[in-house]
Amino acid sequence: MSHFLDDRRKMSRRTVLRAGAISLALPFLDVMRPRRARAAGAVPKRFVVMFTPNGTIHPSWVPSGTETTFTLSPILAPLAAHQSELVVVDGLYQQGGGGDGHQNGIGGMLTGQMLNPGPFQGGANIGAAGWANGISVDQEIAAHIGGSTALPSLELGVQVGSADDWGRMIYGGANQPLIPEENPALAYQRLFATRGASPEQLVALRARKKSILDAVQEQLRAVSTRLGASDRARLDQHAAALRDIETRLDAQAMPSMSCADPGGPVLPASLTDNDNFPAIGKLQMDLLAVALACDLTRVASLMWSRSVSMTRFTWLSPAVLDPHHDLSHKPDSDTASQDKLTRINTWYAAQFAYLLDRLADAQETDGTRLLDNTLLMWSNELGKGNTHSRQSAPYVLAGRAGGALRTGRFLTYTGDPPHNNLLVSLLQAMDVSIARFGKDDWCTGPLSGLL
Amino acid sequence: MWTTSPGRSWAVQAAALASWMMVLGLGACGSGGTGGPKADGGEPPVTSSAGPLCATRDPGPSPLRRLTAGEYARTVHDLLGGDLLDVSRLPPGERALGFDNNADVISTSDLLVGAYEDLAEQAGDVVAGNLATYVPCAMSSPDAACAARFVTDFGGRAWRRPLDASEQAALASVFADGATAGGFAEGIARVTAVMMASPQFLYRAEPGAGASADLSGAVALTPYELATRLSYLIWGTMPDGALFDAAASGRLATQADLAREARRMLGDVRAHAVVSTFHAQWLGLDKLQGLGKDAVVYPLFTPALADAFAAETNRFVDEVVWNREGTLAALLTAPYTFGDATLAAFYGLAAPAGGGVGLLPTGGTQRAGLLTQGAFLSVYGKANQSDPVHRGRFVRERLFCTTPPPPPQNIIIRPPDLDPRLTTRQRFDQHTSDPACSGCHQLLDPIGFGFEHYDGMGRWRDMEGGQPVDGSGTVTGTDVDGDFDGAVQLAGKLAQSTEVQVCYATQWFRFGYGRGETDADACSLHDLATAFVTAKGDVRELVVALTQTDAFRYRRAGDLP
Repeated sequence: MSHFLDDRRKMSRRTVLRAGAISLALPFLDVMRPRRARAAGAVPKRFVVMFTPNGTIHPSWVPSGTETTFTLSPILAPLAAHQSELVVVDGLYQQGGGGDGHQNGIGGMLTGQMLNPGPFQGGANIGAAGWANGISVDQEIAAHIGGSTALPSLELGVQVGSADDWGRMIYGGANQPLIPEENPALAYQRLFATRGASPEQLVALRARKKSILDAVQEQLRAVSTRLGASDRARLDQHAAALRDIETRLDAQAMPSMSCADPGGPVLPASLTDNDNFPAIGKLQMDLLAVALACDLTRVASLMWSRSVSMTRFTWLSPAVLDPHHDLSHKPDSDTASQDKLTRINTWYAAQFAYLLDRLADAQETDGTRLLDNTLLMWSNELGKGNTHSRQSAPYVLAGRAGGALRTGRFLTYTGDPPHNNLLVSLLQAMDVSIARFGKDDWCTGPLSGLL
Repeated sequence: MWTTSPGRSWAVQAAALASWMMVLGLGACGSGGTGGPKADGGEPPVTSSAGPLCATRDPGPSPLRRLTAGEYARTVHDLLGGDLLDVSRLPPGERALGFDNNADVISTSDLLVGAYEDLAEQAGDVVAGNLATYVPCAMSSPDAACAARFVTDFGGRAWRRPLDASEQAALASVFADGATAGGFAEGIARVTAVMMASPQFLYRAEPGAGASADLSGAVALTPYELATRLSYLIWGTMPDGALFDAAASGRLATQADLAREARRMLGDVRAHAVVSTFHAQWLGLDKLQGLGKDAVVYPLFTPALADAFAAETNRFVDEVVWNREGTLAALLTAPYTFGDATLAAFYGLAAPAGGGVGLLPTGGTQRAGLLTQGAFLSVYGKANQSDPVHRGRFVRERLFCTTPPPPPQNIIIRPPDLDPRLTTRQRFDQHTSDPACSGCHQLLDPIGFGFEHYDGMGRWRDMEGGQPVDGSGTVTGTDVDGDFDGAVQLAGKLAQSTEVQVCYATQWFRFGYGRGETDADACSLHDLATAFVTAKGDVRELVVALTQTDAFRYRRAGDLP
């Protein structure tokens, strides 16, 4: 065990944060420096997805200019400081199927798969459908690079509030949606569960947990043998989750030993009050950045609201009082509403910029910035809100992925190439050797010209 | 005494038969719209097509159920004797067909399983920290025999059945390891945690009791499995001592046994939480939390008002079901509600006589029943205007169980803009003038317009856009077709509809059994609906009837190894 533990410790010390860089106030800790210089390339890559809902206003979103010389649009203007670290991708067709446009848009966004049949009905449109029919791109990446960290991946949400296929975008596999944590305090607990414990206490805690988990696994096996195949499959998923937790017990013990505990977040009075949306989002972004910087996970996602979001952007100036989804169905000719939607999406761009700032603030042991080793994708379940069209869905990539992605570019595609191709390229940028992803007939290979 | 198949009266059967065609069918939209457009190659809606009526008895599928977050909280409360765990960290259950207990869509992720693990360890610490309470023998002889006794007693309650020998042995070994590592209390803590993190606690596994003697292709459930089905159906928590005793002594064998226990349990206050949960989820009232309105248009709509609405409807359901008429008809039409002076003023009613929250007679002209209460009207109201489409859709979908197909793809779907000179009805005119819309909206809007006297937060109005409000409407394609004026009259029609009763019973089927109905459930649904209609729409009798069906009493042999 000690050898393994020692190895974990080194891995967890890869990252040094600049003092005060993150609002959770991670102190600069000299002990977090590695004991010896690491070879170039040893800093891990990270992958982040950020989702915002209800489509964009394409004319206000699309940059102008050429691939390498372009001017950011009004919506993307808050990202100006990071323009050289972006790849704006226009013209892809976001595949999806089953259910209504919102449902299958979000179900297919990261999986490149149809929704399976199922009982979800309701929302603005009615379309009976179930969960998506495959793994999402981030989880495929996590399966390759998430193995040694405390959490294989971290799913965070901001007032998602919808436990159905409008409120899920991450899938561990077909029909296996992953739940985003919407409470920053619980997310913090999960990341820093063993804060403050001594090494001896940690050894004892791990031993206890292992003995409990092993015994529960035994019961899962015993019960399973008496059940039919579909019930057994449900318990198999439970057992797999338990195994995942068990194999990460050692890594989970590390935060208190090698990475600064940022302290628990101070929550707003209500997590469901619409007006606290920005404050909760900021806490979640701070936690996401800390989790990556501390190498507690290498794959993370942030889900702002949900597909068919009804968020009211009361904090904008002037305030937008209409629920987002209601606005998103206003016609193109309604310029007042288009302006409101542009301002909403501009606000989301500013949040993405904030997240990039946090990753740029965190310095890695080799002197690079966390952002340099991260690949981020900001995506939406729709292209256009008022028609549910998924043509020219808005994708913004950021970060250099350790050099795999050439940034400072604006790419325009014609002929509606499937977004599955983008997902393949993201996987390849993250060193996952794969030629196709998602539904086979929606994918023709990597996205030409991206990498 | 419960009428089962042979005892059905022909009149009831005919009425129910007529309604199946509608209830289990899709709402057709105008000419040739049956089935509706399929979006992007999607599957047809979950409502099954009308099939032969109760041709073959079949329990239908019994997918593995897991305790919902609410059931988990109540079970832990009963098991430990108090709200001693931080159950708020459990994520909310997946919602399908309106309910948070649909076994076909539950998801299992590290987040959830990790929470179960942590809570189980918390429970272990609670028990180990209060040995005198939970493990009395520890006071005199803290040894393996005492631990074994604890495992038998506590485990039998946590797993809702007696433990078998191999389970006893496995848990004894957990205790022994813990005791070696940290003493008796640590052994107890660990064995408690294992019991509460195990599938026997978290899930409702039903291996059954072998082939049924009276239903071919079916497996009979063990008495403990039936006790568990009863307790979660009626109480949303674990069985009590009397129910365990009934299981142990073979008093859950017959339909009459189940009905007797069901009636006993309905007399216990624990049944109120389940009935309350059903109605809140059926009505979609959880959407009240965090529901916001345009503060310029509806300055009165505050979180406090939303809370008052939720409390009102909850109290109303409670009073109707448990203390008053007890029927679906009363839920839809009762000329009274409950609230304080603020709510009374909102409705234009006199404040309750005794102060605080009290009975508010409504007179039955502007307000009568659930569909005229602020909770329903504001959830199914837009942020800045009323919402005839979704109010109409609620009636179709949740009261008639018909599923209008979705709007076509690639059209701009939007509520019409506010116009101070026009009424909502005038602004929604496009739905009936545009043929792309009118097919389906003729099913929704003529019902939804009947709610036009209530604005987007549920306040009564006589004028809109400088014109008198027209609250007239029409119901078509049902057993209560015809014109009406206002939601109170509409509710009166709904209360007379057999189709609505059948649909309400179907909603309870979904909620009570944690799954959508299938073609194979025709007999169970028919028995259920027949019993409900026969009982004149009595909600408690419907709950009893849920314990009498093949779907409740058996599971399919083919679903087991």
